[in-house]
Amino acid sequence: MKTSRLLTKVLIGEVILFAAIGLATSGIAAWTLASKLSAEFSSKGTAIATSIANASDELILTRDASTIQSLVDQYRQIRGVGYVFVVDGDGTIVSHTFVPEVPPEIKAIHRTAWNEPGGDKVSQQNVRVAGGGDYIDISAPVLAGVGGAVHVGMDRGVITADIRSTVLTDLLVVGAIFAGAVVVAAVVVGRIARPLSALREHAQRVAQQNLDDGLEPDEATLGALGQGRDEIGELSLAFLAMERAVSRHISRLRQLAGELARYNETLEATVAERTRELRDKNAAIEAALENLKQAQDQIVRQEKMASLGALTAGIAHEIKNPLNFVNNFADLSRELAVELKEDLERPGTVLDPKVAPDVPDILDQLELNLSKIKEHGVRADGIVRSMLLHSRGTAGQQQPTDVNALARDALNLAYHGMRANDSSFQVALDMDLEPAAAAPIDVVPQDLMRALLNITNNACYAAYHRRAGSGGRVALRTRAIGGGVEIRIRDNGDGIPDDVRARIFEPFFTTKPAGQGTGLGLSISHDIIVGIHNGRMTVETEPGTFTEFIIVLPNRSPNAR
Amino acid sequence: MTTRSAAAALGAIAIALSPSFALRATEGTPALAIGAAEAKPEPIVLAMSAAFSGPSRGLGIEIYRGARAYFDDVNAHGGVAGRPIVVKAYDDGYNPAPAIYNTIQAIEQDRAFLLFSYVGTPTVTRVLPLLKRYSSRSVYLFFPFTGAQPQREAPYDGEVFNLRASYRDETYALVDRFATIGRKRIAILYQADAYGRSGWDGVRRALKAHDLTLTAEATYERGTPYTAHLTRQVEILRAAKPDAIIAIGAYAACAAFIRDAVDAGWKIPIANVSFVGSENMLSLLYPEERKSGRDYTSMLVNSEVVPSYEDVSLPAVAEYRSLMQRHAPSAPDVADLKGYTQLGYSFAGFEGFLNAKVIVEALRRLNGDFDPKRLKGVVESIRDFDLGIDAPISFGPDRHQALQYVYFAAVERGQWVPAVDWQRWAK
Repeated sequence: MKTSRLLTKVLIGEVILFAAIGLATSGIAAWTLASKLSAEFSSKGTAIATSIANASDELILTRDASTIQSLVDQYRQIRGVGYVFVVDGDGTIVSHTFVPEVPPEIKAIHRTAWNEPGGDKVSQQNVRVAGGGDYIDISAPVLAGVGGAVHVGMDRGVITADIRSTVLTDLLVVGAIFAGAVVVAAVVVGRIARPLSALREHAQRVAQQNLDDGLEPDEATLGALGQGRDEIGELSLAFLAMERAVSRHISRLRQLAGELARYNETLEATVAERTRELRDKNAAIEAALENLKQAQDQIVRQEKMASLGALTAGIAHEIKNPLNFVNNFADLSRELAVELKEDLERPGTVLDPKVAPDVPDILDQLELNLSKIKEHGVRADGIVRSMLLHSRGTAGQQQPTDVNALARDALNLAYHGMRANDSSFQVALDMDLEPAAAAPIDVVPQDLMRALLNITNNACYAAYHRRAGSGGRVALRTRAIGGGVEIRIRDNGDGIPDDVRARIFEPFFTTKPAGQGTGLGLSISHDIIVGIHNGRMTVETEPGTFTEFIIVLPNRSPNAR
Repeated sequence: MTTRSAAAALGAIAIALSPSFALRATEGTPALAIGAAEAKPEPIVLAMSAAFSGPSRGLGIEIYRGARAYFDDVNAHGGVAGRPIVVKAYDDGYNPAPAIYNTIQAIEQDRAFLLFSYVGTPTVTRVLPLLKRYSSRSVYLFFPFTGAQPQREAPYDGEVFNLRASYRDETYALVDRFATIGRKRIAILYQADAYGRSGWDGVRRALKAHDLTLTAEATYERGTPYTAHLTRQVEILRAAKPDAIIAIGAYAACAAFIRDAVDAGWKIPIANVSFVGSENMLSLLYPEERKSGRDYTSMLVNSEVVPSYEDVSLPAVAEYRSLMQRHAPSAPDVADLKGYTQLGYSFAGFEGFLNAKVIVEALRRLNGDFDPKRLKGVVESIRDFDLGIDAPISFGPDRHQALQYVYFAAVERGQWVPAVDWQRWAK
């Protein structure tokens, strides 16, 4: 702990105070002692001198000097008595305590003779003995001065020594008290300064503290602050109370801030959740919209196809009668032309020679033309009949049917039909018919046969005409699915480009060379599967690799009821 | 407040110091010599407070040993009336205050029958008032080893019996002899206490009888050891150009003075009185003389109060020497013997022996009735008792001083011998 400034000040104050006290008491003691001891020594010397004088009057006159010496020696022991000597009535020193001799200054001490005024009184004078110190010489007359005198020398050196030792003692005592005071001051100031210092440091810490940190003082600080029931202690307690109040407020604020932060977090989470939900809903809406669009497209397409079908059927119906006339009269006219020619070729028949050469040629040409009309009329009639199928609706009855057998017959029929038209026709057939799919379901066999025949026909055609040449293959797979049958017809032909694929179910759309397809096959098949059997018909394809038609037939077609 | 604190502190210091005073007082109380005290028969206890330590310890030790030689012999022959004589020794270190405490202890606690052979003037003069205090118990001091006047005069002469001659006797004799050989300028070196003053007084009176005065005087502090230098005293006295010096002191300081005087090249007769302890002085000076080759001893002449123990023609001398040989008495337990060599024979020891001899005579005259009240009368009844020194002694109610003879001794070949021819120190 660094030296407290308070302590330093107190110590400086104490030093000054005690120095003043020391000097003052020492000075007073020295002065007092000097005057008091001088007076004391004076009276002491007087008492001793008088005492010896009173005791020795008879001794001086009658007794051996050693008796006086013995008496004198006793007083010599008394503190402060520097010397004692006795002079007899003749002025001879008969007893003294000097070693090694009576100093000349002592011998020179003049005492008033007994027969002079004051000779019978105690007298006092100061004597300085060279090398022997200063004395207060007190002389008391023996027998009123007739019997001599007793001189007692009080040693001023003792007074000086007393003063010195007293001053020294005083200074030592003051010094000791000073030391004690320093210790007491150190303790007291420490007890004041330590809490103050701790309070200050704590306050500084509090001031510097990040409010996130706790404000509570640590154990040591509490210990330093808590002691003392004085003003410092109360100040500490007040400070602590204030600090606790601040701390409480801060913790309340922190709590509120925490709650706010939690609210923020919750809000963010909620917003995020709402956003996610919205996004999901958006996605759902988009998906729904997409579905809607698809459905709409499909509806449009179906409506278009339906209207096309109706239109076609209408057209076909209207065309059919005139076409029958065309066909019938073309046929009749050809027969007439044949009869005319036969008539002409009969002998006899003469014809203007000018036209005769051209008539047979013209008749041949006419017959050929009428044949051509008949031929194309028949073909148109076929087309019309096909068109009429659209509008005809279902003609057949639904009946439980083995779809496996139906599909197999369709493929075989298509295959052989192709071979019948083109002897070079060659593709490999691959049939994988799940027995479970053989369970009879309600279908219209004639219609379904047409549809399947259409599709297998296309597949055989594609497989045969693939650009990669030979190796064409057509696969037929059936399998039972929940409540129905799935039929897959796959060829390894050139596939269907995307732009084509979108239109394959449209009527009159065909990619075959002109005259080879009516563009109605897949459209009719679609009608049959979707329209009649309430099934689904999709196509998967990869250009250059394969094309696969997938037909799903539910077991119970609503139309079958 | 501070002044009051200082006063309180001073008080505390005074309190702190007082135990040490008490301690010093305790130290001053002598350790007791372990006497051969037995339950039966009850011994006769003689209390002896003397210097058994310090610069004058040689006196106490040798007086004790001389006395013990005689007491041991008496005890070996059954004691007095069947009771052994025990000397209980107390060390006062030649200082008055311990001597007083020792005396009180001896009387109050140790039930001393009498006080015996105290050593020294400053000690004895301070003990004298105690004898007055205990006069109702009939406590008497026998034969103190001091020639001072106080115990020979009123008011204490009634409680003290002196065997030896006084310093006044010795100084008179010395001054007489010096005057006879023409040395009339007498200077004095004396111990700055009652002993020195007693000698000083004696010398002054002796000179006055010859119409002379002191030429010079110098003092030294009691307790001055031989290692101290007394050159100042030598200078002071030498400046007055005296013919002779009389030293009233203890052997250590006097030997130091003689050494310093001789070392200063001063050749002058120096006389010491009996208390100096001649043998102890010589045991300091003679080795010094042998070592340095200087003559420290030929100008010495000491006054003694007992005959020379070399004069074997005297029966007491023969008895003393024989009993010292036989019993080889040792110093008391309280004695500080460090660095001290116990002497074979000595003036002090011989004086202790003679003291003991008179005491035994007095005790015998009690005829087995050891009532202290009878002691004074019994001793005072002694008439013409032959000590064996060719000087019969007598006591009486007005006579508590037995001997007056003064003997002189000089050093020859490291020995104290009777000084007969003073002409060798003539001026």
